[in-house]
Amino acid sequence: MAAIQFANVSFRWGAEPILADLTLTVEPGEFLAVVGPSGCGKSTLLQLLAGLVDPQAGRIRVGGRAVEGPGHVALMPQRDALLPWRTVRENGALLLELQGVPRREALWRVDQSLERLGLEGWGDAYPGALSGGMRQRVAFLRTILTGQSVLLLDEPFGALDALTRLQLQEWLVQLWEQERQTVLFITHDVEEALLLADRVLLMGARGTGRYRLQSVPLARPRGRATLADPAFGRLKAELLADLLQPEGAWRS
Amino acid sequence: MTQSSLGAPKPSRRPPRLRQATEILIAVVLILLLWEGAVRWLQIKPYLLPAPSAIWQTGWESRRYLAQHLLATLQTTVTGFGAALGLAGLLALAMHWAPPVARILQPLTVVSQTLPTAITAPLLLIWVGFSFTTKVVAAVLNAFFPILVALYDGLRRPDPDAALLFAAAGASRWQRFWKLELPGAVPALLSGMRVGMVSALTGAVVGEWIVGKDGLGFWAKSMASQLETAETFAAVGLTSLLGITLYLLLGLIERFLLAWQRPQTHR
Repeated sequence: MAAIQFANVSFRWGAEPILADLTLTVEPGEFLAVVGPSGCGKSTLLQLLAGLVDPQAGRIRVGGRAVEGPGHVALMPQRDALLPWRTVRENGALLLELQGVPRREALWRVDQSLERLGLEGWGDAYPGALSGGMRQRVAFLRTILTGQSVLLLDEPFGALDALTRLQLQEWLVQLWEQERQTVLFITHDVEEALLLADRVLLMGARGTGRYRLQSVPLARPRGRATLADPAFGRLKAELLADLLQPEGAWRS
Repeated sequence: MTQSSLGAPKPSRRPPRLRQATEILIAVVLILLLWEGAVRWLQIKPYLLPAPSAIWQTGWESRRYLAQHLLATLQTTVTGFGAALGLAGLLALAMHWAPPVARILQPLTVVSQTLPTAITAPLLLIWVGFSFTTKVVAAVLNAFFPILVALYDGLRRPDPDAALLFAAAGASRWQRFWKLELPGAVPALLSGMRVGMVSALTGAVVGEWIVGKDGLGFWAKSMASQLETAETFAAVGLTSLLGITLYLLLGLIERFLLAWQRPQTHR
């Protein structure tokens, strides 16, 4: 059974088409990156999956069940959205609390995972005391603790400096290669998409609703060495050429 | 994974509070010295402008009266502030939970705020009479608006990313209120309370002025009418000190409640 399924999905904001007849299947344990220029509808895709908006046409299924309202995927929003008045532990426990897990048990589950995520010793710190990279780890911890099989990550590393970003990309790819959740990862960075994903969904410019799927046959485990792989360079050039093409020349 | 680069906490940048306090103190002392010198050298008549030393001496001699009036003002201010906090809290919650209430009340509260207490207080005199209640009501009228606006705005403006997080998780309205909106509004509420406290003091003094029984406002007015200028100054100075003390006290509470805001980082 597919983890995520879009069947002929169309979506418009007013008269402007955002998605046109999108059909897409994501297998369980697949890492799909979504790349496209600003305003192409990446965030709309995410809102559709999260059940926050409904498509005008087509069907969306998550884990075989039709999406009817929110609460069935784990979302990690842009920036970290940590609540500044909650400690690292309390932030980690937030989504569990929203699911109705008693607070003590939620905190206990957070404590079991702090070390695995490189957050040991930081449980009682407030987000204001953390670096940007640490904050993203807390946000990621909060996301995976929901126990949802589908993770939606919306440009999680977009606000970080280049070095911290690479460190976190390596960290994420390591974690994911062990856990193999289904991930839909939104980014505007082609390199990031190729470093992390099994397949890339390229989205056309705003208003075209066009898209193309590209598989990424690079060896795993991946890391900074992947960046020097000639195949990586070729794929990157190809994807960039597509993204930078004028509207009419888009091939699908 | 390396801890060193990712795990380093940002160093806190605290303003050098002690230095700032010292600078203010020096400035105040300088002004007082200049004042004292000017009054002595220019031989200004004491009923026009008494010297700081004279004010101090007069104030010390009448300390029992001043203490009594200070206590009255403090009582009115704190009671008025407390009532304003309760009233503003209830109204803000009602406006937040029931948008029609907000649509009706918002313009009304603005109108109520454009009326200075000095104008409405005589009306209170007619309705409530020469009593403690009149003074308290004057304080409430002054204090409740800044608290209401701060809390209502604070409740309505949670971080959009956090709001998206709650929405995608399928959080109930109730969960959103308790875990996102209410804690998120605390900083705004506290700064509203600071402003409200000072406004309550202003309202209380105006009320005392009009009711005319006790309190620093009453004392300053009656002393001024007898050309006891030094005594008036003493009452004015005490009122100012009271306001500053109450303001700083709330600041302390704020520092305690918002411990998570320190150390600050930029995002």
